[in-house]
Amino acid sequence: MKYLHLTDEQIQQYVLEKATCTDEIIEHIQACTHCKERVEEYNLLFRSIQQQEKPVFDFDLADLVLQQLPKPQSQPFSEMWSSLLIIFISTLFCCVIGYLFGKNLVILFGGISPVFMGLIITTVISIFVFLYIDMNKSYHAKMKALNF
Amino acid sequence: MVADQPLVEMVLKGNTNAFKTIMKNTEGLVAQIVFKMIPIAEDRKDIAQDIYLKTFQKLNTFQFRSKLSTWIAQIAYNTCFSYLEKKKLIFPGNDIDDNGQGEHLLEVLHNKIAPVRNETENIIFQKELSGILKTEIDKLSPVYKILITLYHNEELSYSEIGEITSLPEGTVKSYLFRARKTLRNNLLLTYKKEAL
Repeated sequence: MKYLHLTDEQIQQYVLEKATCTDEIIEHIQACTHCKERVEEYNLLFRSIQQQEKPVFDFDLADLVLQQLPKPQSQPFSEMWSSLLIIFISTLFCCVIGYLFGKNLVILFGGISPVFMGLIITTVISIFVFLYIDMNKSYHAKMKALNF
Repeated sequence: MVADQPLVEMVLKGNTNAFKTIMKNTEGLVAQIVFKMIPIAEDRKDIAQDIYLKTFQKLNTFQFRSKLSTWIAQIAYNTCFSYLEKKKLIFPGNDIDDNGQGEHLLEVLHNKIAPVRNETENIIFQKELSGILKTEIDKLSPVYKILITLYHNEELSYSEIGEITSLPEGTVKSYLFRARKTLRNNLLLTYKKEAL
């Protein structure tokens, strides 16, 4: 039998996880009044902690939070229709321009060499791509800033 | 009670009532964390709302690797911790009296508390103890307080507590041991002062 008292860690282990204690610890506690009292103190402490009143919010949390949640909207649907409308109007506009000024445009750009024309088209497409990337980046940055 | 997965799926499909159910299921645990970690009562309302708004916003990222309540508790813990950091309210745990003086005082106390009490005395003692205990728990550092609460009140496992607090399981066990010892020592010392 141990003549030294058990450590606090061993006492806590005995109270909370008795099954994991060695026989030495269990025998010591059964024989030692001092350690038995410490076991009792811990038992009392843990019982009292469990009996503590549970805190409750003094307001209706669910109500407050639900008011702030984004309402389900048919936004994606209407967004899709507006995108289609813009594409339709743009295409129509291009067709009208082509129909009205097609001949003039052929005369205007007919004299330009294919290499030079390719250069112009590449430049225009590149500018649009860069503008799109920049707009997309700034959109995501703004959305992130708006996040909680 | 409806399982986590169907509830989350319902919320993701736009059912706010399902989110209300999630809130009702986890409000007790969140309240424990908020009350234990946030000392300023006026700030608790905003923080509690913030926790659930974050939960709602991040719900689509929940992977079902843990219980939903554990995941929400983790959000609650992190939100409270960020608040404490922002307000510079983080302070280390109350140091354990390891210089032996505390143990000596406790030796003396054993003789004062140990005598057998009758039923009425026991009830009074329990009430007194409960009041003192509440004060002593409040004096602990936020991390110690939350560990004690999650283990003893919410009966969570070491691994669940580790998940919530992002602490390794071994650290949770060691902090819990120190928190209990601190609490026991402080409790006995306070009881002695009150008894004198």
